This record gives sequence, structure tokens and C-alpha cells, in this order.
Amino acid sequence: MTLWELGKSKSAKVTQIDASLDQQIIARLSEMGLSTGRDVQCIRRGPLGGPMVMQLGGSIFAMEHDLATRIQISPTD
Amino acid sequence: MQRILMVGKPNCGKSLLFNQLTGLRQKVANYPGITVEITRGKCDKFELVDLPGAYSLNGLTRDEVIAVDEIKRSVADDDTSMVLVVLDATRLAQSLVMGLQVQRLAFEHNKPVMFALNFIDEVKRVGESIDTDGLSKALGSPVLALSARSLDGLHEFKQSLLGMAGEPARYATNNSTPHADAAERSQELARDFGIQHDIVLKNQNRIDNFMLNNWTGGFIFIAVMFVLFQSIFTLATPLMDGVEDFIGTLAGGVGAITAEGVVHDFINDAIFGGFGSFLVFVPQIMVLTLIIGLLEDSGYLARAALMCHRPLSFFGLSGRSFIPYLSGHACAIPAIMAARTIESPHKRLITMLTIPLMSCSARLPVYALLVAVLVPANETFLGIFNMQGAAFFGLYFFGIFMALVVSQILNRFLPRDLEKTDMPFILELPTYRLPHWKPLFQRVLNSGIMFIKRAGPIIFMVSVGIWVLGYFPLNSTLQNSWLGQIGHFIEPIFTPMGLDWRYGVAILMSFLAREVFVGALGTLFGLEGADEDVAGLAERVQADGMTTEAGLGLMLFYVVALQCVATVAMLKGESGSSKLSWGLYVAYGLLAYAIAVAVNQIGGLL
Repeated sequence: MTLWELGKSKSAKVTQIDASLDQQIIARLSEMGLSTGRDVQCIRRGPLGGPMVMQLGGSIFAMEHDLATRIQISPTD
Repeated sequence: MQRILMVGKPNCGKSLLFNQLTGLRQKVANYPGITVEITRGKCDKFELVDLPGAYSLNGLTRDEVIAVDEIKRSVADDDTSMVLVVLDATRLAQSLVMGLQVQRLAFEHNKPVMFALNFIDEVKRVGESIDTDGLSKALGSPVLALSARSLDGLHEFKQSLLGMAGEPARYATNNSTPHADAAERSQELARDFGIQHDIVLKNQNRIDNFMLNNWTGGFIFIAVMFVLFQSIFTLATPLMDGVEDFIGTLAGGVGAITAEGVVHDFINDAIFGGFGSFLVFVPQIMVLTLIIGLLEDSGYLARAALMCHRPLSFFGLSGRSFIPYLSGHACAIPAIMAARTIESPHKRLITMLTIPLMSCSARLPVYALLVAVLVPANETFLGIFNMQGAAFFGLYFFGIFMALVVSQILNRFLPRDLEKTDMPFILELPTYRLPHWKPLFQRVLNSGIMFIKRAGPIIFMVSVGIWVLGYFPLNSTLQNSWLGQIGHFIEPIFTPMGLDWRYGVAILMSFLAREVFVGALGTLFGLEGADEDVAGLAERVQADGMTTEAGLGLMLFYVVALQCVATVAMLKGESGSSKLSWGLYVAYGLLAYAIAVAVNQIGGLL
């Protein structure tokens, strides 16, 4: 499933990041702590398809739909 | 003087630490070419340089690319004796990415690095601690824990910093991580030395449950915006009056000691009347900077941008467009600079091109005059809303509405630059923190100084120009002056708007800077010191028989028209296209004219 499908308060492990994404974006995601094998937790879902809020390591990030659908995850709980 | 550079990610508390180390005397310098605001101050016998923040040396947004260029240039500079990297102890992994990259950069240039582990008070508060010696060994550069807010460890830190800066050769960096490994290494280090995040983040998430909630969050957002716009009037008005009185007193004093004649008239009308009336807006810009600064330092602004992302996407904008739009209500120039944080070049361009539709403070005197002419004072709507206040709100709203409409159109028709990849919307939500007055105070002061420096010269030239045209040939009346002659020549353009030559001249002059309108009209109505007495001028305009439809058309004209040469210059610098910037100037002018004529003509039929 994709990161976008992760429900509120649910955790998952990142399994794959779309390799066709711009290299710069992949590098930034990995700097944020979002790369294959890392944990991610959904903090909240925005209304009307707005950005989702997630916890990566010790930081909180908001990410929009278009990017979140290109990240594959497997739920851990 | 030898320099110490300060780098760090946004929200790492860098500005406050800078203030604590340098005191309140500091200089904001602007670099030629691209505008980057870099703060410098003195710390003992060294110059401390606060470089702009970035998440990584691989810059994504325009502001990051500019910041990274500046960091690279400064680290390589011979006068730089060392680099101070500020880390957020509560978000170690995030701040170490940038930290490790900068350490590597310093290593390549043979400069020593010191890490300042900030917010150590917050770490202690949750009962945690960080092994700084261990972290220091792992990093290969000294790490000192401190809190710039509670002053914990600050004294020891300053001593070590000065010791190191004095003997940079002794502390050469001997260990560094290649750029490609920085992300991985920072995660490892955070796992080994970082704190348990859950306690810290639980608090933040609890506040966010309220702030970002669909109902309470929306309500808070509207309330914050309401307070913000209210304070533009209530907080800024007494300050603006103060500046006005001061200039008036000064003009009176200088007027008394200069002999009657051309020089006396020049100083009185061109310098004090023209240039002086521009200084009146400075407090308003400072008040708005203060409120935006409070919202930003507290962490709320990122939440507001997040909530606005979805609605603004509909118009081809980003959530990050919200902040430039907001500051555009004070002045378009810093707002256009703030648009650099927008991730997508296409959205950034649309935002920059629509910022001039926000009702900046230079429009206020024009609105104030026309509202006073058209809307009777002391009249209320439903017994609650002051009609004049409601009219002001309507004008602000019309500007925002037009900006969204124009954005939608630009999004459809503006060609996309396919070589530039669209960056996605990723936004860090910083920890909620109580803002500290020191960096805020500095920021507010600088906003005023920068505004005067940037717009001042143009306004000055316009004031002098108008005065010369209105004053010569010598001993002529205004009607016969060069200005009057031009006015009669251009009158046919303004007849469809329901306005005569005097308004025409005032409008024409305000194409250089819109704040000129009230002053110019005041002079044309033969009223000395019109800026100080908007009410007096309003009565004259009323008595002169301005129709409601012409007045309404004129107000909407001022909402839409891009009458500010300084803004065009800024747009040119940021978009790199002179054609686009002047094209926009003409396009908004024509659109404003069309709206004004339409309102006047349709209003006349009703």
C-alpha cells in the first residue's frame, strides 16, 4: 500500500520509494528520515484530501497527496 | 576582522543565540545582485555572521539554494576562522543532516567546527540528557550543550567558542562524513545520542489536535486573521499619528528658519509633504512584521500554511503562498522575497505576480480618503459593524478575491518551464514555542529600516518630480503649471471614470508610487498639508460633487492597479524578466481602468 493510505495513528515501514522521482526529492526525503526500511507514523489526515501529517524520527512533517502516493509502505501494527 | 559563521536548520534557535552572543547591536546587509539578508554582529574581537537557515546543502527551494550558495561562499572565505553549527537537541537527526554536511564543507576548507546543542533546557525538562562528550567524540568536533533562552551553559559555551576562534589551527576538523552518507549517519547518531521523542512530540501533537482540527482549527485561523487585520489599524494608527505629528513639528521648525521662496517651498512641500508622508507607513509595516514574527516564532505560521494548502492548490497556488500573501498586506517587496520558500517554480511565479493585488499599506491613505468621502461616519450595519470599517474590509477582500481569480487564470495560461522540476509540498511542523522578544525586536526594527532604504529613493525622486512640475513655470497657478497643462491634456482618459483632470493628474502621478495620490490631490484642491488632514480633504471632495459610482470605481482601481515602481524592480530581480514585470504593470493598470470605467458606467445607469 502507499503512504497516502496510512490511517491516522497507524505506523508503517517504508518499503519502496518511486525511483522515477527527481533525485533531489529522493535525497531530501532520505535527509528527512524517509527512506527504505525507516518507520513512519501518521499523526493526522487533512480534510478534503489536504496534506497528511506524519512523524519521522523526531520530527513532524506535512506531505501532500501527489508525493505520498509514490511511497510504498507495509503496516507494522 | 576574523569571522565566525553561524549555520543551522530553520527553527534551531539560531537567531536568539546570535542575539545572546552579540547583544542588540547588529547590521543587516544586503548583497548586490540577489537580495539575501545576512545579519552581522560583534562578539568579543570577532565578527559573528548569521547565515540564512536551510535543511540541507542540497537546496530544494529558491531560498535554500540562495542560502546554500551563501554558506559555501562564506566557508571558503579566507577571513572565516571557524564555523559554528547550531543543532536542535530535541530534533537531533534533522539538524545533524545539515550539521554533518557543513562539517564536511568546513573540513574541505580546513576550517574548524563547533556544534552548539541548543534547547538543552527542553531536554532536561522531560527528564532526559544528552552525552555531549560521546557525541563530540563521534563527530570529531567539540559539542557544547546550551540553551539560548534559559542561558544554561551559555557562558561556558562563549568562552570555548572564543578560545577556538582565536586558535583555529589547533582545532582543525579531523573527522568528517562524506555528503552521500550524511543522511544515514545522522540517523545513527540520533539513535545513539538523541532523546526519546515521544514525550516531546506528545505535547506538540496535543496542541495540533486542537490547532489543526477541522472545526476548532478553522475557527482559530479565522480568529487569528481577524486579530491580525484589526491590529493593522488599532495598533498602528497611534504610531502613525505619532510619526505624522513628528514630521509636522519638524516641518514647522524648519519652515520657520528658512526664508520665503523657492527653497522654503521645496523643503516644505517636496521634502516634508511628499517624502514625509511616505514615512507615515513605516509603523504599519513594523506592526505587521511583529505579528507575522510572533506567529512564525511560535510555530503557528507553518500550521496556517498547512491548512491553506488544499484550498490554495485549487487556484494553482501552494500552502506556502499564504505567508507571502499575508506579508503583502504590509508591503509587496518583502512579500515577493518571502515567495522564495515556495517549492514549485510555477507556483512561486504565480504567487509573485499576484502579490501586488494584496492591499499594501501604501493604499491605506487612498482607501481612508475615499471611504471618508463615500461612506458616512458613525453609521452601523445591523447595529454592530461600523460601515466604514466594513468598507475597508470589503476592499481588502476584493484584493484577495482578485488575486485568486488572476492566479487561476495564470495557472491555466502561463507556460510552465519544463526544465525546472516541480518540487512537492513538504513542510516541517516545528515545536510550539513561546517567542522571545530579542530576535523579534531586531526583526521589526530591520523591517522598518529596510523598507525606507528600498522604497525611499524612488519616493523621494517622485516627490521632487511632482513638486517641480507643479511649481514651475514660476509664479503660475496650478492650473497653468506644467502639471496643470499635462492634466488638461490627459483629461479625456479619465472622463469615462467620471473624474476630471485633477484626479487624472493625481492618478497619473500615483503610477510611480500610489501613496502620492492623496498628497497630489490635496495640493490640486489647494489644501496645504492634505496628508495630515484626510477628513478636511474628504469634505472638499464631497463638496466638489464626486459621484458614488465614480468614487467606488476609483477605490477598486486602487485595489487592482500596480502603482509601485519599487515592486516592479523587485519582480524584475526575482523573476529575471523585465518584460514580464513591466507587462504586469501595464496589465494591472488596464484591468484597474476597465473595472473603474465599468463600475462608473453601470452605476450611472442605475
